[in-house]
Order: sequence, then structure tokens, then C-alpha cells
Amino acid sequence: MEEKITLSVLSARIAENTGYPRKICEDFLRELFTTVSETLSKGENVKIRGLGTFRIIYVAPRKSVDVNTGESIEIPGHNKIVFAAAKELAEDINEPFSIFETVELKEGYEETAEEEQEAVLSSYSIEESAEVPDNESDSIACADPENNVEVSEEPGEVQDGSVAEDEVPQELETVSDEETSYEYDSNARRGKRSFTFLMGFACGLALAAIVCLAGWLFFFNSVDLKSLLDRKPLESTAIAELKSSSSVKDTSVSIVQEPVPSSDTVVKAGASDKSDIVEAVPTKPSDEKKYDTISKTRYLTTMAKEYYGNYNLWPYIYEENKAFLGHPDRIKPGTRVVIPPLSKYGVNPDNPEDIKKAKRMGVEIYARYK
Amino acid sequence: MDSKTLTDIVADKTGRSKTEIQNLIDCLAVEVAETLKEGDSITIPSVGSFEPRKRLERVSVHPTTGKRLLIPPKLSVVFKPSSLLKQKIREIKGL
Repeated sequence: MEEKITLSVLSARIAENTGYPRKICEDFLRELFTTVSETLSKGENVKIRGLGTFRIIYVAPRKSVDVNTGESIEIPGHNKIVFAAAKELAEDINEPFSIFETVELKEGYEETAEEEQEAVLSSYSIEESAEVPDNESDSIACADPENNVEVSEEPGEVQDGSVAEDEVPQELETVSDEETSYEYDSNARRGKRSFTFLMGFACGLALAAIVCLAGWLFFFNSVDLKSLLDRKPLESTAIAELKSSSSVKDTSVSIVQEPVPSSDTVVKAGASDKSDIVEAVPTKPSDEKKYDTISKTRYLTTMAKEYYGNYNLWPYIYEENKAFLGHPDRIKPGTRVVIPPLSKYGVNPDNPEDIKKAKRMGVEIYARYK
Repeated sequence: MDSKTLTDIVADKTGRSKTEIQNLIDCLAVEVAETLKEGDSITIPSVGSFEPRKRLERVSVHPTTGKRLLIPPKLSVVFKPSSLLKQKIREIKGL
């Protein structure tokens, strides 16, 4: 990429394609561009059919500042060369982006003062706090062509709901995630509004972090309850043993000793319970909510194979947890994930169509991180 | 100078036929497009260079209807004249 192709390389390529000898192609190019150059030097525009038009344009004198001294100087009036590519050439070059079209913007996207935008953005964030942050990760994703497709299509659907509203405050209440994500992306591209973008980005990150924390605490709480229940009977037996022992020193020693073995047994009991649950599952398709933890030897694919019977179904586990999962190949060991029941997504692991669909989902997930 | 006149002049100078020159020009256009699509630039000594440029999407206003538009991103080609040529052009009077 970004190579500078010289005249000789160019003539070699033309020779290849036309079959003319390389020398002839080189001569042709030299003569062609010499003629173009000479004609332009005489003040005449040159048109090359299929390539484009070289024009000479007069630039009026303007005031400016000398870069070294800081004095104001005048740039005198002069001519400059301008090249306009031929229509076919321009379209050919734009081929990768040819699928995009100019889209009409309706109310809702305001390109006004930064303050107003900040206010708008912050009220969007407030609105979002109650909702599932599924779209949050999409909105934070960096702006690239693929994203642009999603982004430019979304305002279309959102606007249908909010077109009726005239006043901006009313629109804020009915806004959805898509519109916010569109604002995030377009804001990203305006250098002047980098501050509002940072604000929005920070809000999004904070929200994602809060939700992660909530999810983790929720899981942690359910584990705590279990171990608490197990510990209580054990602790009471430890206390009974303490009461029966005679000397003060002995009791202090046994106090130290008792809690340790009891906590060990609690841990073991808890662990063995968990492993029982895990081992019971692999043979049948799961229908209850389960948790599992990513480790160096347990990947989403491992879990999909275990819980669903087919490792290609990992995207469903990913999607269920995508709020706090980043790139699917780089999930931190120790991350706890929810294993959703396949019935939630209507997936049958024996159906090859569903497997194909899952594979496509996988490709799409990877594409989000390109 | 229009395209036809140009091909005639080049045909004379090189001693080739006009159809041959037209063929070569068409091929040149294709090569330029292919090179630019790959992100490379083409430099012609003492004339200038053709470089690819990416234009980001922007919000604009339709001149007649006044409606706001979202213009999508695109790839385009830009010609940068060499200093030599720029100098030659700069001073021409009466344009």
C-alpha cells in the first residue's frame, strides 16, 4: 500500500495489458504527458477522454501571514492546475464505496453549538441507564466503512418514530440507542467536537462498567448465599467443640484451627456441588440458566460443545454476554459467562441450517472487531 | 485542447496511428484506476502525481430543496502538479 508507481513501472503494466513493446508504451507516456504539460504551460486546458480534464484556474490575491515573521503579507493572484477525473474513472475508483447512497436527514440530528450537543448527549445517557446495554458496545466501536453502513441505515428507522415530534425536548424522550450510536460515530469524525465525543464515550464506558459490576455482583451474591447456608451448620458444630474444651490456651488454639478446616470443607462442598452440576449437563441440551468461567483451557467453543453438543454454537454464548466481552479470541481467563438455553434463541443443534447460521454469526462477530 | 486533438498530436510525435494511441490512452486510464484502488500513487516526472484520497462522510444541504443530506464516504483521485509545472503555470498572464 501507498507505493509510488513510476513511469517505467506504469509503462511496463500497460505493455503487459496491450501487448505493445515496453519501449513503445514508455515513449507514448512521455509524449502524452509532455504534450499535456506544454499545452497547460501555454494556458490551455487539456481533456483526455477516459482519464480526465486538466484545467487552469485563476486564484485571486488574498491576505495571509508570513509563517516566519508573523507579518501580514499578500499572496498575489496566480494560476493553479486542477484535475477533474472522468466520470467512469471516478466511479471505478470509488467501487468499494459504491453501495453507499446519499441519505436524507430528517429532524433529530442537529449540528448546532457544542453546548447543545452535550446537553442532548447527556440526556440520552440518562435515558439509557435503565436499558440493556447491548447497543452500547456497537456505539463505542470505531468508525469504519462497515460501521457507516449500519449507522447510515439506522437513522432511517429511528426517524419514523420521532418525525411527528417538533420540539427537541420531546424527541429526547423518545430517542433510542441507534440514534445515540449514530451521534457518537458522526461526532467522532468532527475534529471540533472531540470534546463531546469524549464525554459520550466516557458515559458509555461508565454505563458498561456499571452493568458489568451489577452482573458480577448478582452472580457473586448467588454463590455467597449458597456458601453461607453451608457454613452455618459447620460453624455451629465448631462452636460446640470449643465450648467442650477446657483450658483458655487450648480454646484459643482450637478457635484458630477450627475455622480453617471448616472453611476448607465449605469450599470443597461448594466446589463439588458445582462440579456435579457441570458434569451432569454435557449429555443433554441445556434448558436451564447456567454459568461458566473462561479459562486457559475452557473457551466459548469448549462450552458450546459441552452444553449444546456442537462447538460451532459458541456465538450464542458470546451474544448472551457480549456486553462485557470484547474480541472473542481475547476473553480474559476468569470471565464468568452466562450459558443461555438454546430454546431462548430457537436453536436446534441437530439442524445443519442452524449450525450454518451460527457459523455466519461467528463471522459477523469477528467482523465487528476488524 | 480536446481529446481528439491531443491524440492526433501524440500520434504524430510517436509515429503511431491514432487508433493505437487511443487504445493506449484507454489502457492508461484502466491502469490508473487499478493502481489508485490499491492505494498507490502514480508519479510522472516534471508533470505531477495522481494520488488516491478518501473523503469522509459529511452532512450537507441540498441547494434547491434545502433538505439536509448525509453524503457517504468515498474514494477519489487527486492530481498534484510538480513544482516545475506549477511555476510555469503561475506566471501566465491574461487568463
